[in-house]
Amino acid sequence: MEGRPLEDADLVERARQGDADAYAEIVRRYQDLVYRIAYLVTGLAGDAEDAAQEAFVKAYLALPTFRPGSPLRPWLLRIVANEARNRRRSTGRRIGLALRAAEEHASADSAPSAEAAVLASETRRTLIQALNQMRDADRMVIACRYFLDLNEAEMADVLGVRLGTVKSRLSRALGRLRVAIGDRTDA
Amino acid sequence: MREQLSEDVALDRVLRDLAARIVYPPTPNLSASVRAAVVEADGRRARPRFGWRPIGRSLPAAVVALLLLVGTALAVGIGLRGLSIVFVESPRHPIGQGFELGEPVTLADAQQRVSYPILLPAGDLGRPDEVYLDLRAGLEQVTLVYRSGAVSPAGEDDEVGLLITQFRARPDSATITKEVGPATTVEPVVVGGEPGFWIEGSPHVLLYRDPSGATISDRVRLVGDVLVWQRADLTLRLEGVGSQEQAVTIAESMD
Repeated sequence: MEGRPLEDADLVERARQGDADAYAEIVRRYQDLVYRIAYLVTGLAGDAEDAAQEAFVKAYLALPTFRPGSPLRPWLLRIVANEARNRRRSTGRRIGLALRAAEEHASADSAPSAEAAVLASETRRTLIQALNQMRDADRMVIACRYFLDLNEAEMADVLGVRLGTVKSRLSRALGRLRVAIGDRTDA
Repeated sequence: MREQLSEDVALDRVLRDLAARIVYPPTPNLSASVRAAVVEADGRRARPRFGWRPIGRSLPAAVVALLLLVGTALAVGIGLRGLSIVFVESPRHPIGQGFELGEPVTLADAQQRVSYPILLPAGDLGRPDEVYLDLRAGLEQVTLVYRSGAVSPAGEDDEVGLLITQFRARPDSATITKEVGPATTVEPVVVGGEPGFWIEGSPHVLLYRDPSGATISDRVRLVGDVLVWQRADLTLRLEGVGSQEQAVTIAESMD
């Protein structure tokens, strides 16, 4: 792979013709996102790795059915989400996912004041705690939107719901998050 | 903080800010392992397969093909030199066709041909493996078919694991209890604020009222307990889930 990076469509075409290196390049491009989706669905690093790898292999085997010119990313997301859901279902485990946020040390440049930095850090901690107490479905829709930065069509694929359902589900989840935050700060 | 975060804009901003700080496990390097797996898969696909499972699935077709070839060869007086038989995996067969559910259609096609928004379960189940449409009785019946494994670990063979049927009618509460048979119990339940019945003991036939008020009957397709519930002017029936709690959870997720 020298010179200008190949477009997804070029890599897909090469992979369809059996070019394993081209497919490995596709994997490199999407493995972060695919793995994170699998992790959010399964809740376990080991299951996420298995699901992500299996999803990439299944996608390769399904390349003959991939419509040339279609965007690759949503197609891959749909496959990995299905694979991760099947894996979670077959193990019979609840997610038990605990999101964590990195704690940063505020510098004089990055924060307007020490008090503001403490307040921001406390806000994030409250938010993470509230998110981890939410139902899996609520946390997942918020994570897809804000943490994975998926668009609505991609969210529908990953969540396995219709496009029209995504907005209402996100809205309800955010509503419950607001209530949870209120309860925490009242406590 | 409550005032700050309860504002839509503030919450939106804080969540976006949080995104960059979420800690994930480090992504494993998948490209090498996937590359090795696809190279191996390509090698397998290129070789004729003689394992038990492929042969078991395609043996009848292969025997027929072989007989046809031999017959043809004998008939035209030529040998089999240059001919080879390649065993291939048969494509996945439709699993719902033996259930008399109507015609197989795509979900989009079904949606275009019924007058109500088709309800789909959210979350784990996702989109159905097959969809059937039955317009014969004027009930606009749509059945979503899921392979085994949708709500329980998959079996060895492909088979129907879950059926969700929706149509324009109402459960007939006056007769449903009487008609299910002595070995079957009917428990009233509430599904999303609307009435329903959890029917244990493998009922065979259920009765409904169509939009004109006439009583209609429909047989249950899968062995096991059934959840029937009402959503506005639709009746929905869920077959294939082992527990009432799980069935109600799926039912309430439908949107």
